[in-house]
Amino acid sequence: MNRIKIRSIFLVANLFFGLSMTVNAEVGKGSSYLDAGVYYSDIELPLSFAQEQIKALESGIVFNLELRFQIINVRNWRPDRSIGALTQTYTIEFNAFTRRYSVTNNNTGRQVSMSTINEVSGYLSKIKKLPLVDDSLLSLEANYRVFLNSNLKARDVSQWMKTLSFWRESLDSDLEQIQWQLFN
Amino acid sequence: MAIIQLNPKTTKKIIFSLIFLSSSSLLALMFSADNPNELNKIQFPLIAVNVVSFIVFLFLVSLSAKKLIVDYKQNKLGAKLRLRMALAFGGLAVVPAIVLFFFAISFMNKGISVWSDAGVEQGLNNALMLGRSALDEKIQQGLFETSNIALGLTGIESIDQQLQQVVKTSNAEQLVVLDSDLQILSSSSNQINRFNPRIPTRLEIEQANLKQSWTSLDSSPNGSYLIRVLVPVLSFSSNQKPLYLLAFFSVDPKLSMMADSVEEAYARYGTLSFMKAPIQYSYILTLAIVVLLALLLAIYGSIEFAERLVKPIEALEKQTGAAKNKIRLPEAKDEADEITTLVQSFMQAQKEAAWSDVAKRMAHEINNPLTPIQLSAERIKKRYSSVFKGEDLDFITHSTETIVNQVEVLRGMVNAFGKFAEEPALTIESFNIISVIKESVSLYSKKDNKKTFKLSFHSESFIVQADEQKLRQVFNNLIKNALDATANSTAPIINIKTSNLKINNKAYIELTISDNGQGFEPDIVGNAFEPYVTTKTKGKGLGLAIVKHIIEEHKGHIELKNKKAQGASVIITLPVLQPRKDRPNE
Repeated sequence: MNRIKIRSIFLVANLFFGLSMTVNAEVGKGSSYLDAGVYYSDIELPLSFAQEQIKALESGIVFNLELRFQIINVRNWRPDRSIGALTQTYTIEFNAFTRRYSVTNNNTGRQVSMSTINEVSGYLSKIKKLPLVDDSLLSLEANYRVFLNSNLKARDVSQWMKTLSFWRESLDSDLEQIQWQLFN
Repeated sequence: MAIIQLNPKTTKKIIFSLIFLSSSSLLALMFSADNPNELNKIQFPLIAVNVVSFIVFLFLVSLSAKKLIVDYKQNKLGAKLRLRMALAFGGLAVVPAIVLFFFAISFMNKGISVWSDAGVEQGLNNALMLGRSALDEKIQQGLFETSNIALGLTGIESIDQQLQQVVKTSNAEQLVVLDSDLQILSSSSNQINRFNPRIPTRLEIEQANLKQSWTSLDSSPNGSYLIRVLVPVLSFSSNQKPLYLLAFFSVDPKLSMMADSVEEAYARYGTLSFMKAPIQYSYILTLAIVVLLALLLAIYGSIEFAERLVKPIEALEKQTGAAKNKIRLPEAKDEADEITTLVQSFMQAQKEAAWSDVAKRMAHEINNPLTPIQLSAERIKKRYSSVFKGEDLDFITHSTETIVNQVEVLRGMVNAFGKFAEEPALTIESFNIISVIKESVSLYSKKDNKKTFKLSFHSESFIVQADEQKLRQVFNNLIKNALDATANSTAPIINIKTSNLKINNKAYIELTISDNGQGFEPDIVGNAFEPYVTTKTKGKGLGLAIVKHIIEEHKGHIELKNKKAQGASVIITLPVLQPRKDRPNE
């Protein structure tokens, strides 16, 4: 009886959250390399904008792309250990006056503008030379993996408003998790 | 059917807390409604508070309604009336609330439609177009100027000098020469703090190749606008790589500011339009919760109100219907309303009438055989006192005297009944009430020297209009009661105090007689004025009933209560002047 109740709760929760969050099914990849004592990463994100997201952007809603990196020391017979975490955020907005999309890297402040949404997704899908971790913090014997969780979210739109927009495609999307070996 | 019964005090506390919570949250919602972003942030917790209130109210209303229906099905006294009243009051609240709800939604939708009117959107689009066309001219000027500069460049060797010279005479903020690999070969700015040039993308370079030029208008985070122009340099190259000239032109700050303002308004309008439906749903949901809460409160109130209203009528019905079973009238001191007062007055009048009737009949029926009994006993004594001697004579004498004495007791009781039943007209005259009280005190202080009387009169002489003899009877009775109550006290004290009062501009005298005796027993206090209620072994229980009767005949009021420390108090309030129609002698 309890199992049925728990399953029902899960089903309802999945249905509810399923409405407000979609998962991008494309596959991305990442790789890291050492340059002057720092490990950098090149990432290919499975990013694409849904029609509703493009419509929202062109209506003036600002989006945030958040990349959450986590470097984990994968250990045999012992729990894995987190070495560090890094969050990189990009703000994407559309300027109706210039008819251009601007992408701002919130960590560096660098802003670029593009004329089409495809340029934006192309620009954000290929991130090159992102500094991840200092070599001195790592041990050569250890096995490190980088996990990248990314999501695209409409900024300044409350969860309440997103829930009340239940009939249309979600404004938020989670990208498929990417993971790779920091070094071999 | 089992019904959950909640403590009324707890229920009241819950209801008031919920009303307070809901009102506060709705007020917060109302004041935040001007700003959609603010509304978004606080709406969920506020609506959650109201949903909780709604659930609790629903539970309380269900309990009350269930009780009402169960009572109705069981044909309980007053249930039908309660149900009808609850339905009537509830109906009166429900219909306007529903009508208001739909009107409010209609007006709200109209209001939202006004700001999302197509005309507004068109206006904003036109404003954007107008702004753009103003800037397009600047872009064309920039393109013309950049193309001319590119044509004028003579070679890569002296490119730095050429750029420095040209930038001084042109309108460009900065000039950059770069190759097809996006490597900057030279850069020159007419500003002291030159900015980092935004390097074109490969796509932009491709477009410049294809169309022989590429232009863009960019906004910066500080709200200013910048024109970028990219043209190929055709007269020479560097290491066989094609070269490009990138020029930056700033837009007039005033124009930038206006363009930014139009863009901001357009974005705000676009966001609101995009979120129009959820905003509408949110308002409708909030309004629905408010209306439902108000409705539940109204229904709960109507059930409770009907119950309170019907309670005294139920009591009256019980009393009249079950008088034979001597059911007492429930007291409703806390909920004294007109109906309760009416019912209590009615019951009191009914009681007094019944007692008066009984007293008359008893006086008549008992009085008749008393005289023959007494005469017979006296005859027996007279006739046989000469016949018997010794022990027999004593027996005859003792028995006949007992009969005669008990007949006297019975006659006294019958007379008391008679006095209670009869209602002779008052003989109203003006007299000094303080003197009458003093006379009564003096009568009893002579009889019992041990008692201490403490007198406190507001005046030595206070003339009232009343029946002197009847009031004398009242004072004697009350002082005697006080003496009896303090019979076992070691230091008995009887306080008699007067004061004058004004109630609704009418003059009254208040007399308080208090003692430090045993006080009234708790079960007696409530009905001490009723006939036959007494704790005295020899009392008839008519004294206080007669006292009350006399005071009420004078349009006065009497009440008694136990003192906090020890003893009891009787407080009489009498009008100083009697109404003209109640003065039969005048």
